[in-house]
Amino acid sequence: MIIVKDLYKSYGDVKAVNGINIHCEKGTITTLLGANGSGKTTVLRSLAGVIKPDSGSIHLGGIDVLDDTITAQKKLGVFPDLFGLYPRLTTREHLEYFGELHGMSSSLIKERTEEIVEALAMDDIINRRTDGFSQGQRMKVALSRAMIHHPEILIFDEPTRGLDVFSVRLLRGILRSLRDQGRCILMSCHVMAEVEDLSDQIIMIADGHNIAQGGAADIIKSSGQENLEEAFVYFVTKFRKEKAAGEKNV
Amino acid sequence: MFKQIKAIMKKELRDASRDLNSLFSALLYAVMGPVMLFVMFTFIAAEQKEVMENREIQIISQGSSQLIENHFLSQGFSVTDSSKIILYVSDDFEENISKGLSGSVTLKADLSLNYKEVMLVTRTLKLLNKTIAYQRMIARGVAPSSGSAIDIQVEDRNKVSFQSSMMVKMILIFITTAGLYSSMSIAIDMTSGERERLSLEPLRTQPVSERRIILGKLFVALIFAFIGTFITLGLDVIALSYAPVEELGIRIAIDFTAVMKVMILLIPFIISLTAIQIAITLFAKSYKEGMTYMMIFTLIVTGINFLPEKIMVGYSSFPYINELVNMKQLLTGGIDYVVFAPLSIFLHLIIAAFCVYYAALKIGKERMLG
Repeated sequence: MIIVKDLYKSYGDVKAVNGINIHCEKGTITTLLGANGSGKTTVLRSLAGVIKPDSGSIHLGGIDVLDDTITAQKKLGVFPDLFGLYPRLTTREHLEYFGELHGMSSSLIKERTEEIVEALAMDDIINRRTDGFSQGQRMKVALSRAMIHHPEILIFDEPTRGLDVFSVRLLRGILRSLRDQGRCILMSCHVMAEVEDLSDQIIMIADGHNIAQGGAADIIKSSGQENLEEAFVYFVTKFRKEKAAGEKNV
Repeated sequence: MFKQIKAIMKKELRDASRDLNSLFSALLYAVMGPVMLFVMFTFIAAEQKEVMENREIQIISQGSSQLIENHFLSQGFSVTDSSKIILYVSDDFEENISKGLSGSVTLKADLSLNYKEVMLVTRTLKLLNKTIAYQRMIARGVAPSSGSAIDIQVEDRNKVSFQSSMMVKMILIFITTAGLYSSMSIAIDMTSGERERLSLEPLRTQPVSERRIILGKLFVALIFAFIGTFITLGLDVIALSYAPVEELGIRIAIDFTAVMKVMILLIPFIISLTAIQIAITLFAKSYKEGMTYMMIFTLIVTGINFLPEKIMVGYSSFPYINELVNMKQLLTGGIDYVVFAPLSIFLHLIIAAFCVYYAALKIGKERMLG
């Protein structure tokens, strides 16, 4: 379970996150939907414990991330937008390294590696160094790295970016399977079709604010638009108009 | 705690062992230093030998120059018709000498190319000058000693000759920088390289503290630094046992025992330098930038070797200077001011601890994620 309350984060004069609230239940997929620079990555990095918000609270599986980052990180699997792989290590060695960082025994790492190889169809790349991997293969390594310790919460930062249709289909299947296993998944995404298809809950954000929240159908309905893309444009435009009017009044 | 540090070390060692460029550059300096020393000593000895064996001079004079010719011949010179060193003897040289006057000679040579040969000829002429002066005094019934009011005897209190001292300085530069050069590529790859390939973010999302990350990386850099220094020291022993150091009048006491003592002296020295290296390279966003910072740092460390002797002795209990002074004494067999400095060891460890603390803070900064 993820609970984020009144999250604020500024970089100098730029307010990247401006009072974001998130509530994600176990066995659900929640998507942060926002334009470039809307604060999605800052929110996800705050959740992962790698950046410190100015104020607000973040709880992952009941653990306060700001108070006990290490314990919270044990419950978390992160899939960053840029995979950040080690080109001279094989896929297996990646899993071994990250498993060991989570304190897993070598036999457990082996067991989990076999599970993941089967689930992600990675037989052809498990013993290969990641240098020269295609985007799809890199995605598999990053995904398996995030899953090796069976985290109860998973964070995906724009997971489908740069992937071909086969890789997207595979990823979609994995995300659904993880949700069905009772994992709590929070992701950021730009692709409306993906968002609509996968998400149990969508949180639209603009300029670091929550602007709409709910299931895809509910959001479309409340916007009075025909589809999610139109609804997103509607809410962002409405928010910006209100913000501009507010600033004018001030 | 140790399990995570061990995991980081295992990964970094595995990664580094596959980076052939880093491995090559790590070993290159450690191996090339002693090889360069051997070549340098052999070259200098050969050059000195050549100067001594091929002492020749061309003497040009319209008048008689027999006196000078005989003197040079008696000193082992060959008097030839063509030489790089030409001595012009004035026409009235021997006449003036016989009258008790001064005889004039002019030495012509390219000093930039034949400095050693010119110095040798000058010394030989000074000897002739002194001999003639003494003969004149004896002829006048004056004791030759009366020509020298003060008899200056210079006794070197240092057991080490100046030349030995300079050569040991060269050896020390290679020894003190071997660790730095051997761990440089690896340290840069583990820090700025991690930033550059964007692998720092996934690492930071793992349940491992920044301090453990830094310690894991530091231990790997230390392994390379110690191996590099040990290789350099070992090869120095071999190189200097084959190099003609004695022909150069140099006394260097570098044997297994000295190497062991030097290695022990270098432990805190290498720990603090490597920790500084890790902290510095974290400032760089890329491998290339990290290399620039490290080259500047290495130049500064090399520069400590060239501090004036007065400062070296005055601050001999301070870190870096202490090890240099002690190593110099160990390698030259001198014991005049060997300083066991708990202060230096303590400060080295404080510096290393501060660097680990600082690097852990630095790696936890948001701007490191890019």
